[in-house]
Amino acid sequence: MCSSGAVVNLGHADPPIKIDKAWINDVPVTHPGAAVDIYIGASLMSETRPFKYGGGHIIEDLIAGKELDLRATAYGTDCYPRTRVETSITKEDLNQFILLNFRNAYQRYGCAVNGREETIYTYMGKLLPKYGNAHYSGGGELNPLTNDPSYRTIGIGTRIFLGGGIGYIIGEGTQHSPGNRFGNIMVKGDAKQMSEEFIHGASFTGYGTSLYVGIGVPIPLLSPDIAEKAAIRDREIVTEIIDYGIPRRDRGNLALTNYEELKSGKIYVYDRRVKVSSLSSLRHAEKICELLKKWITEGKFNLTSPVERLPVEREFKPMKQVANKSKREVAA
Amino acid sequence: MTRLLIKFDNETVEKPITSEVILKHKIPLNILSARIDQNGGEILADVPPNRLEEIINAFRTRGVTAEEPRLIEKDDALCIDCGACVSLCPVDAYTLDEDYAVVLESEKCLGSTCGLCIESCPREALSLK
Repeated sequence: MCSSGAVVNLGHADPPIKIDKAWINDVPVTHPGAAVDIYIGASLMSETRPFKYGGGHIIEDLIAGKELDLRATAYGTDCYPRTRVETSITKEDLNQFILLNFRNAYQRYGCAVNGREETIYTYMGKLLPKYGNAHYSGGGELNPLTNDPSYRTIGIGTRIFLGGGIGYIIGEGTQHSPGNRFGNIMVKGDAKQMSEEFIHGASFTGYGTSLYVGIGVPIPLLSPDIAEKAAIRDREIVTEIIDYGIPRRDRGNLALTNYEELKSGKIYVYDRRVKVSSLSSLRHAEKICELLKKWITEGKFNLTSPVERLPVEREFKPMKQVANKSKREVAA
Repeated sequence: MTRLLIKFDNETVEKPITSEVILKHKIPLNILSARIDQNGGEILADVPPNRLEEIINAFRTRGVTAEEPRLIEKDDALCIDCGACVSLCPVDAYTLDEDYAVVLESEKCLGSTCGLCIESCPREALSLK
C-alpha cells in the first residue's frame, strides 16, 4: 500500500549536517525530524525516473542489500555547519532502518471498474473503458482483520509477520473504519531482518509508486466464538463494485460482489460478464500463512496479547472544505 | 496452425495486399488481431504450417515482411503473481494455477498487436520479446 515507508537514521557526518533536503537514488525523501533522520515514503517518486522508481523501490533495494546513492543539502547552523553531503548507503550503514506503515492490510476493499469511454490509470491498476475489466485487492478469507472482525485478539503490541521478518501492530491505521468493515492496521518492524521476497516496490502507470508488503497476523483461537469467526469463507465477504471513472469522492456502488466471485475471475456489471483479477498476490498470502504457521509450531515466533485492542468504532470523516476561502481572505 | 506476424510500412499499409495474397494463393489466413499507427501496421494471423514458406514469399514479393510474432515475455524473477495482467488480456493468455501463480500461455498471446498488459504490471515484468 502507498501509506507504507521506512524511517532511517543515517548516522552523523563530520562536520555534522542538519539535513534540509535529501535524495536517495534521485528520490526526494522527507526529513521529518532531527539532523539525520529521514522517512522514505513508498509513494515518493524519483525526479529522473518518475512512475518507474520510487520510495518503495528504495526500501526493496536496501532490504536486498544494494548500495544506493544519497545526497543531501542543508542551510548550515552553528551546531550543524555542513551544507552538503554525497555518499552511498547500504542497510548495514544505517543505525535504524524501520519499516513504518501508516495504513496496511485493509479488512476488505472495493472492486474497481471504469465506466468511462477511455482507459484510466488508478491505484487499482489499469482499468479498461466501458467496464472492460475489473481489479480487486485483499486476500478475502486470508485477510487477518476479516478473520477477527471485532478485533478480539488484534491490537497494539500484536506481534506479526512483516515483510519476512517480525513486526508489530502499533495501532489502528489511518482511515481505519471498522463500522463498514474497512478496518486496517499501522505496523512497524526492523527492516534490516526483512526479506526482498516479501517486500516489493511497485510502479503503477499513470498513478505512481507504491510498496507491496507481506503481512501475516496470528489469531489465537481462544474461544469457540473466535474460531467460528476465523472460519469465514470468501463467499461470506461481501464488497462493493465501484466505478473509478467517476472522479468524485463518493462514487456510489454499482453492485455487490463477494470474494468467492472475485477469485472466480468473473463478476457481473449491468448483467454483463466482466473479467476480474487481483492486485494482491494470493500466492504470497498463502506462502505467508504457511511460513508463519511453521514459525509458531517450531517455537520461533511467540504470540502476544494486545496491550489495547483496535477500536471497533471510529468515524471516517471527509475533508472539511471551506467554500470561497480565498475570497474571504481577500475581503478580510 | 502457425502464427505469423505480417508487418506493413506506411506505404504498403494502404494497399489491399492481404486480400490479394488470400485470393491469389487461396490461403485460409485467419486474422487474430491487427494494429495500425503512423509507422504502418501489423497483422497477427494463423496460417497452415504446410504453406508457411509460400505465404511468407507471397508477402515478401509485395514488399511486406512476414515473420515470427513478437510475443509478451514475463520475467519470472520480477513477477510477484499479483494478477494485475490477468483481467486485461483479451484472449485469456494469463491464468492462475492451483498455487495462485500467474502463468502466461504464449501460444494464445497476441503480442505486438495488443500489448494491453505491458503497462499494467506494477513490477515491470512484462515486455515484448
